[in-house]
Amino acid sequence: MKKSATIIISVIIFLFCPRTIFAQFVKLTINGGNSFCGFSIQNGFYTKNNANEYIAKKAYSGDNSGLVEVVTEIMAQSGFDVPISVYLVAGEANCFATIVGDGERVIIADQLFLNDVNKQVKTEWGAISIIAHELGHHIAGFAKSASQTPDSELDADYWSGYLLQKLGADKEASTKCIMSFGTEDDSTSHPNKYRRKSAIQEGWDDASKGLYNEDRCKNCQ
Amino acid sequence: MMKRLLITIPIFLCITLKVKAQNTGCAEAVAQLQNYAAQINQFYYNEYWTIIPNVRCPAFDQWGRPFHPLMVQNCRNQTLISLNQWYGQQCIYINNWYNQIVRGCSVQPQSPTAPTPAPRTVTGTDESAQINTDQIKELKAGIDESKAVKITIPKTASGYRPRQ
Repeated sequence: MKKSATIIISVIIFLFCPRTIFAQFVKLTINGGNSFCGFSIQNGFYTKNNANEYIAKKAYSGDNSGLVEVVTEIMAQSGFDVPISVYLVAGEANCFATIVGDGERVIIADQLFLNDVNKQVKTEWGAISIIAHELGHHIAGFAKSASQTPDSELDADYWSGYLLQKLGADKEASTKCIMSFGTEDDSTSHPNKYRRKSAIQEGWDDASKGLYNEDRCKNCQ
Repeated sequence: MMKRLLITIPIFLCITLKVKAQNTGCAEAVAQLQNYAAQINQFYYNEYWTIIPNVRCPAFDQWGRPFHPLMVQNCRNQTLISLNQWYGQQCIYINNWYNQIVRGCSVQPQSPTAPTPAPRTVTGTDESAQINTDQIKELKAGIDESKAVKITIPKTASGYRPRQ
């Protein structure tokens, strides 16, 4: 039932959200298997060993998205001092973290999707937890192979919980998003929502004790 | 089941949702392209989640008897390969179309009456070397700001109830 609702919502988002026409085209060239060749991250059609392109708009401090400020504040809490650029897309119903061809670390986000998440989970920590999860990928390090992907998702979830605690979210608010949008069962790429909730809670608990788990951070060593 | 599978391939190939970018200005051309991409995505999504598992390669026959699992798996794998091939072709088509728009917009003569302020230059990508952003300032709609709500970090532990 929930899956059907998610599909319907995604389709509605695809069909009815305003089509963004970008003020400044930015062609993000992404090498390898971390990118989608067309306009959607949602369906995850990946091509390997080819350079692919996105149309996106670079977010900047003071714009209507607020995402640069959010990312800056989250990164200040993490102690992970690496510049991360934010790009805005529309109609994607997703957020996405990757490293583009020239080594630039990026987060690609659909602002209307994040707004929608907040409405559905009834807390503005919903969107923040997604952004924190994506930043968590940059902190923890990306999966080197498909078999590592579920673990890398849990690592990113750990950092989401860690960062949300640092930002002042309570534990329940930190996990609301994953409990609303996560899946009942493991998929090839993502663990089920209960395992992910546990990882978020683990990060939240560690942050509250002033600790972090080094095993969750490949980039920290 | 095999018959369904054989029907599937031409269906993918015959889908023609083409919406050509005509002489309509850059903004409309991009809107058309995004509309087309959204249709492709919707079709893929429906096929992936609904049509293939329930219609093309169902696990049970019309009397509720299960098909052999290997047959179902084989059918779904084959259909998914076809779907992905079709989707890959669409991706190439869309990317080519996008490149055509970019090329067309980047050489579009600037109207003498057009406003002159240049858009903010994007740095840090290879794009600035290839596209003269001054020439594509028509493409300025961006996110629909009347609907998009600024993302902020909540000030309370449970978070605000989101603004509608």
